[in-house]
Amino acid sequence: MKKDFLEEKDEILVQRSKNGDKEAFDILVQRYRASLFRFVYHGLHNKEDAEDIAQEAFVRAYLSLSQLKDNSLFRTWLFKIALNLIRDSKRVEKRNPTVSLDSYIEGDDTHKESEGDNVEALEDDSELLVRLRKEIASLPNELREVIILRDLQGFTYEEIAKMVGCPLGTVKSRLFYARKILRERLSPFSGDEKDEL
Amino acid sequence: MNCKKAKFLCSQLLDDRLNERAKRALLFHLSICPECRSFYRQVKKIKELTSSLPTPELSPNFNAVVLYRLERSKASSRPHLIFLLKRRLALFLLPLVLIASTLIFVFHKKPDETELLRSYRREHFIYTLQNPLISADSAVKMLLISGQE
Repeated sequence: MKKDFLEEKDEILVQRSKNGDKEAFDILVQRYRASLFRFVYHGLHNKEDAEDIAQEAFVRAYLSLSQLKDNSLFRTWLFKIALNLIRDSKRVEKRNPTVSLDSYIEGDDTHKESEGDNVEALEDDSELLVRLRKEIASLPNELREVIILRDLQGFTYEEIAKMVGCPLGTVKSRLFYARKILRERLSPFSGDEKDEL
Repeated sequence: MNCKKAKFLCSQLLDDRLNERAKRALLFHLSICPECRSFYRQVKKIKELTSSLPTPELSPNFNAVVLYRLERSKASSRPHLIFLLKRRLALFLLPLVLIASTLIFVFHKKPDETELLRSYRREHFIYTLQNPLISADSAVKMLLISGQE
């Protein structure tokens, strides 16, 4: 039975989940956990917090499934829940700032191990990737959200506009400004390349 | 097309969001403007790098934790069911009570004003008659005057 579920479309799995089928919801979790975690991780840059929020997003999605009218929009809706949780987390962090015992030290490569992340994945990063991740983290919230949703997750402009709650034109502007800022901050590290048009 | 607009459209070109006309105009501009061409090249590279940013591995028990948290949140919401039921009952009854009281208020027979006035005069007349300081003739006169009013 579970093997049949693995290839089912989201709409069917969501409908089964609405009817109380936890196996169907488990498939949805399996299907989206990696991309959701990726999205949350690059919004928070802490593995434990990102897992916590990703898990909470799935729980909230399940408990409020009845509110989802169009089952085919499950993915967008799930990411919107996660986005709101990230925003709440940022707000709480702003009010009560904490310093991690494994906090990142500027220019010190040992931070890669101390963050508790997967060291093997980070060791292969070029300096540019490391700087890119740092610069994305330092972007204003509204710019970081759109760049992660577009370039990391591949959502369309329309989906992003619905998720962040702004007009399409604002999404276009924010993406432009985010890319412009990243380009300005990273251009000393990008190196020369031939034209690729 | 100026460079400012061209750079703005470069972002949309990367995401394949331009119509054919705008795309042609932008590509022409990029072919003659090395600064904008360099800008496009760099933002394109940044987009490619962003899409390949590494992410740590998920914990192997992620799904199990989600199911556990689901069960826990369902269990903690059970005591509230009775509260929710009572609240729903109250919300259902409240409009009925309001409608009933409105109907009672609207259709309750108000004492006739004239009847009230007569009753008052009768009581007042009886009072004046009983008052040793007022003569019976004066009491009658007072009653007649109040009736004319």
